[in-house]
Amino acid sequence: MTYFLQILISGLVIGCIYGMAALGFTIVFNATRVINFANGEFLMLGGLATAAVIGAEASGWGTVAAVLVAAALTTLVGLLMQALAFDKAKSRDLQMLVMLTIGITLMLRGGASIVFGRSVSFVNDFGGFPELDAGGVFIPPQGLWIALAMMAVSLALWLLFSHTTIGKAMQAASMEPRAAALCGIEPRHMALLAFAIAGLIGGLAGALMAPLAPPFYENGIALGLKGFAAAIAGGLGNPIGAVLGGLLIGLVESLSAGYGASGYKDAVSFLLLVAVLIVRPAGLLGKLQVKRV
Amino acid sequence: MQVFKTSHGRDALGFLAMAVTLLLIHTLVRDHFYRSVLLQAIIFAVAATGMTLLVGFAGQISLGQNAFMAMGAYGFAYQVQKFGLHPLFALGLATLLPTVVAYAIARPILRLSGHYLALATLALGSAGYIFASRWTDVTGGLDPGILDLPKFTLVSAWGGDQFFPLAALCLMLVTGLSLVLVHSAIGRSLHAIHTSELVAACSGIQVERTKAAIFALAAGCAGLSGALYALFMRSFNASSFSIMISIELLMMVIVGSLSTVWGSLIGALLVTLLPHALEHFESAKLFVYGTIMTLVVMFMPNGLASSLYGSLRQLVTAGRKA
Amino acid sequence: MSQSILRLDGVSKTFGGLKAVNNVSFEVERGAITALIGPNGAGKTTLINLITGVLPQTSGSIQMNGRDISRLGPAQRVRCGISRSYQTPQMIRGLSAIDNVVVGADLYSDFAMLDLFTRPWRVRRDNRAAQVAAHAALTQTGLPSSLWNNPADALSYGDQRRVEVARSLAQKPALLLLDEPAAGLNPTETEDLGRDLKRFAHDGLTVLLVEHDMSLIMSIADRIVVVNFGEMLAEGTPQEIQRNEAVIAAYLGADPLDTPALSSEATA
Repeated sequence: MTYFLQILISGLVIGCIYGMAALGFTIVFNATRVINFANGEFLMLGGLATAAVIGAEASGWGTVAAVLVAAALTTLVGLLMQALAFDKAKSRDLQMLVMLTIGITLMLRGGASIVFGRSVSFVNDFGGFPELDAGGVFIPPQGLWIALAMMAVSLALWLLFSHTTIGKAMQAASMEPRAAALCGIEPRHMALLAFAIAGLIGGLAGALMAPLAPPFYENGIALGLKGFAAAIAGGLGNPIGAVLGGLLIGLVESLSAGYGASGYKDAVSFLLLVAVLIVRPAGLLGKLQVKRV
Repeated sequence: MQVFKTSHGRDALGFLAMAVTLLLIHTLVRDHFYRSVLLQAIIFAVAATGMTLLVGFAGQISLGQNAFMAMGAYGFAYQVQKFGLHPLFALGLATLLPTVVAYAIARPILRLSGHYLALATLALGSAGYIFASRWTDVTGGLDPGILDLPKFTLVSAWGGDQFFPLAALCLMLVTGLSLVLVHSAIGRSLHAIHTSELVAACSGIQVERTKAAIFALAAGCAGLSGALYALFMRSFNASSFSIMISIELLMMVIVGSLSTVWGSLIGALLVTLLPHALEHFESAKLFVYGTIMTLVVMFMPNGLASSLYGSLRQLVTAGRKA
Repeated sequence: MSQSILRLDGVSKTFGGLKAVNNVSFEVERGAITALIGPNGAGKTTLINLITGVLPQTSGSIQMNGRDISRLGPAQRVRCGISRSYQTPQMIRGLSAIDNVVVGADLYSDFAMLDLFTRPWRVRRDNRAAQVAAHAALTQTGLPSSLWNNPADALSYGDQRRVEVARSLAQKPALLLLDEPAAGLNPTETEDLGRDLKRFAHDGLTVLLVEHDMSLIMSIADRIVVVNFGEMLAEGTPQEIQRNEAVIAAYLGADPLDTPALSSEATA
């Protein structure tokens, strides 16, 4: 039983990370109708940047600085992505947009391999919390940081969307772009904001994840796929669904690693993504329809 | 000349030129290294041709071709090593395997489009790579992989490099079939499907069936390419079939042409040669690919070579008028 | 009385909460030109999409030559003899004008993927037959042959319309469905269109067109079906419809139907 609970805990922890990745997809999709393939790269960059700043030595404020730098970097990357690429390619047809996102992913991946190197980095646990032991079930302190971050991000987004003008503007623009434009809401600004938020959350998630999964320039695609799987599973376009989907994917992965063949755990998430896309693309909570002839 | 005027004529001439070129390479290029590089280009061109038909013509973005290549490669190795089958026979079956698998999964997958299709195929390709690396009983995984396949010799009395003609013939076959396809009703239906599935269906085209068929064809090309790769390398492991291979194939199509069969040959050649032409390319490869892809998409939606070719023609026409 | 070639029985289409088409029933007479008219948003294009099988109906049935085609997909309905054009001409990118028309003629090609491997030489014969059919269809629409090899999406609007009609003709349809064929045409072009349609009908083709151009309709339509808010409003000859009070009211008193210049004077 303790084994099962342990698996559950680690599933939820990693699920928070996937949830944050999924939020990135969802927020950008809501603002631009684009599925940003490169979203996973925000997490990858967040992890690598954190590792670069603090190395394997973690120390209280050093870690905080590292996380802030990482998040700032990824936010900037997100802004540039929208301003330089997506904005200019808006008129291109869908196939071109898809290839654009792939191209950007490769640039970031390649750029990371040049700037941060091609070896796997290691980051120590952030510490700060005592190791908790609940009757044989071990709760890692990093997990507590991650859970805290998830709650903070969720709270911040909720406040943003329901209590600030700009957040409401974003929602309006995603529901009715033309009407919103007529009210003076500039879709470009909304898109910039969305990409910035996605970058910020992604970088944060990547930084927090670094002690658990060593940052490596190749991580981005797998993280992107899992984040997208979570976003779709929860219903693309629905932020709550994104978080729930993330937890779901995390649990599925953890369970298959704990009870099945752990080498294949990533494959389980990937195949789950394909299954959800084919069978129920609207996910748990979403209303998205996959286009048919 | 009349034969230049029709696209049929031009394609037939191009095919002839290709045959002559391959023959010349085989007889004149003696340096082992150059032959090797050109062979790699030929092997990838086989897969790239299928990719052009699927992505360029039919407009279906697939990022999972690496899985089909792996199926071809391991399928080939398995037949030769475990059953001792003749390599030509094994080649045929190894091509058939991914074709059948692709046709079986095509319909549900191809109901997706755009981003969803790209991500779904990426997921399948990623899962395929994981299976290739972990299913060590069959594939040997990442280490040691498949070892010591026999060198290809059709007739031992002839001696010499008999693999090059085989690879060249396979490429000619695939190119020839593609050219015929493009000029047929099926080729036109691909254009229609790419433009609008609605218009295609209302023109009497069986959209789902055609998409599935072209998906299977592209998978077959990838499988043949993988099997040839196995035969060429004779030892390989799963790292040859990571997602990056799918990305490289996409690069070949984008760099070459999204609208002609010849473009895939050019693309395959360029993408294979580039790492050898530029020093330190390997470490910058990803970044360069990404930049090229991004720039091409933003400024040259017809593919790099096509756009350059188009600009060239414009220059020539302008020059003629002056 | 001619047999009806197309028959709609109680056809309805609901999108979520919206009833786009509600219990519409009418027949289209063989060899006649029938016009489907109604204010904007009346559900006319939805009806065309239902007839061509693009959308499945929520209830009701559609019959072609007495055969229920309600369950058939668009490609199969084309094989039953239905061919359509679109509100804006849909040119297939990457193909020339004549190849766009050949796509229509390809309906009769039996070249399958497997033939590529077993008898690839069939392509030549197949293409030749399709070219001949495309030739004939293009000539009928009057597109100058100098334009035939141009990329279809580079043609002018009017020429693209011609290509689209030719593509439909190449399918040798029994029923031609046209969605606002006169949209964007000047009066001379509209007259040419009217003449062409009358000629097609004379040759045995049944035409069902959605149109707003009343002068065109008055001059060529044998019967008119009027819909409003997705429901049948009236059906009859042009003269009957002109006098129908419900129809006049539906157009809010704007009476292009009453203008002397648009009375049933036949042009052409």
